[in-house]
Amino acid sequence: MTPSSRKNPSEIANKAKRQEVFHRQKSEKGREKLARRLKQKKLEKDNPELKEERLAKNQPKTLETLREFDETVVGEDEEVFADEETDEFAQYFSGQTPKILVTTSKRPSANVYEFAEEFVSIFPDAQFVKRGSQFDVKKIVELAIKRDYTDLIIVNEDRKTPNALTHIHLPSGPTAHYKLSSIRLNKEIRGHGRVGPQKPELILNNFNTRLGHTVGRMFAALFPHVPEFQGRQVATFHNQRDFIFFRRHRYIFRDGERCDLQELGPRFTLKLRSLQKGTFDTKYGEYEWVHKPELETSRRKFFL
Amino acid sequence: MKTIERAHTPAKLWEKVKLSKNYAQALEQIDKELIYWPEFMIHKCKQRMTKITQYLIRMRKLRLKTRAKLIPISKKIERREARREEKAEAAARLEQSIEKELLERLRKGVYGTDGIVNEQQRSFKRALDALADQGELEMDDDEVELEEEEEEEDGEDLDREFVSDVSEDEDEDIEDTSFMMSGSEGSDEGSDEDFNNLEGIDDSDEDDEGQSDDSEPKPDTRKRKGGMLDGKGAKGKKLRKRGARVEVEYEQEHEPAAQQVAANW
Repeated sequence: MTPSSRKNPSEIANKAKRQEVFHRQKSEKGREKLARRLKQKKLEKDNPELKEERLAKNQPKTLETLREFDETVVGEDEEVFADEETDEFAQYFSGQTPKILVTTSKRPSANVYEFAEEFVSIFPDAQFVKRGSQFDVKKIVELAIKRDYTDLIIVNEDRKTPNALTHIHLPSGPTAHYKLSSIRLNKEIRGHGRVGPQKPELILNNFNTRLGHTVGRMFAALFPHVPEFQGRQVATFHNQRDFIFFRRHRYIFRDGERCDLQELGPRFTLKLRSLQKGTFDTKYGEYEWVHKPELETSRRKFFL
Repeated sequence: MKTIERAHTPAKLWEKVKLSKNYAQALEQIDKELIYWPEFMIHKCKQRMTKITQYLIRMRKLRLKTRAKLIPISKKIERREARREEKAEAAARLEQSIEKELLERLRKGVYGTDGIVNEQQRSFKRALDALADQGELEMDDDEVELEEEEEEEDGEDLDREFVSDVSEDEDEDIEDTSFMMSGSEGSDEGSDEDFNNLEGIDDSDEDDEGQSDDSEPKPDTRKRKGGMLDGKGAKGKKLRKRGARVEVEYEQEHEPAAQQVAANW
């Protein structure tokens, strides 16, 4: 080993020399690493337990694993289940069929109609109605209750792009307000499939806290109880770090071991902004949860 | 109102009269108070009063109306959230997690154990065995396989057949009849046909297509499907090769039949 290779190459003034030393050190490091890996591989081949041990120890630190403790995470909690039996969605879970009204904000643009059309296609029991400019949300809620709708969803737009969803469960709430982003319609998705008329299955992932449970139940209450499996369509609401990703796929099982997916679209991402008890009422409504910047005390704190 | 009589007391120079809230009464009041004033001044006063009443009404109306609340959007926060959303999406590994969940459901038996939806050749065979044991089905598995082979052979023959002046529909008929003669041995029950369909689902889509065309001896079922599919059947056989995905339409046609079978078991 030359004396120059021992010291830090950044201290060498001569650029050519510095580069040379640096590259030499780097390749040396790489060789060492390779040798180490090969040795490890050989060891583990003889003794598979070592590998298991290494893998068990080598857990990557992600935001999920380091998530701050949330006391409302629902496990096998009797109290919560009892609560849920009597909440606003109990009626749906005891057999009521959903009936959904989808509408837009006032004076919507063509983009919103396009999105709304695909959005409606997600839910077999949904119906799109154009928003008359004379109807307030409260008035619509009133009318929808009168006509036995179970849910009202309003797509809001800003600068000609859909940017928020308001989901009101009828007749007595709750009302959820989501930020809507990353929309990709069916036609924008490469290799997308065509949507069949069958009722889709539903997957709800990672709705763990008490708040998450409520939101999850809200989504669940939008879909029919019994999916038609022959359609092989599945709608997914996946919660990750408080972002709710919606995807829709057609699946096929290969030999019962592998599952292949084809995306059907649309895709979008929701982020809960507020959850309100009762139907839409910004003035006197009681909020169960509102997103505030103060709540984000840490990057590892999640609410759903 | 200002009068010259009070000019020596500037503090009391002006006389104020409160008008009634009622518009008509207020007009009368103006008339009464300004009785010796020029017409033009009276008119101007009334005009002003009208204007004020109107904007008061408008104010009240607007206050009752709901208005969209404008919320400021912080660009910095938006950017941050967009970045976090990207990262969360990557961390979610959506496709994998969905696949995992679906396989989990499959294992739990959500889709039924007879493999109607799934390509489970084994369970289908098992079901056939069970039927054979019960004596409901006349042929064995071997026969079914034989039949399949025959069908395939028929298909190949038909590809090379020289046909003159026959439209596609009639072509189909020939296919059907030839199938009738060679394929199902005198068993024209509905269940037999259903099984062929079911088999079609379990196979890959190319076979599926071929069979769904072949395995329809009844002409009335074909009529129900309409002309579009008929043409597709004859052409698709030559054009479409392995690799394309299963079309939904076919599934729809088969599934009810498959379900009936499932119900009969």
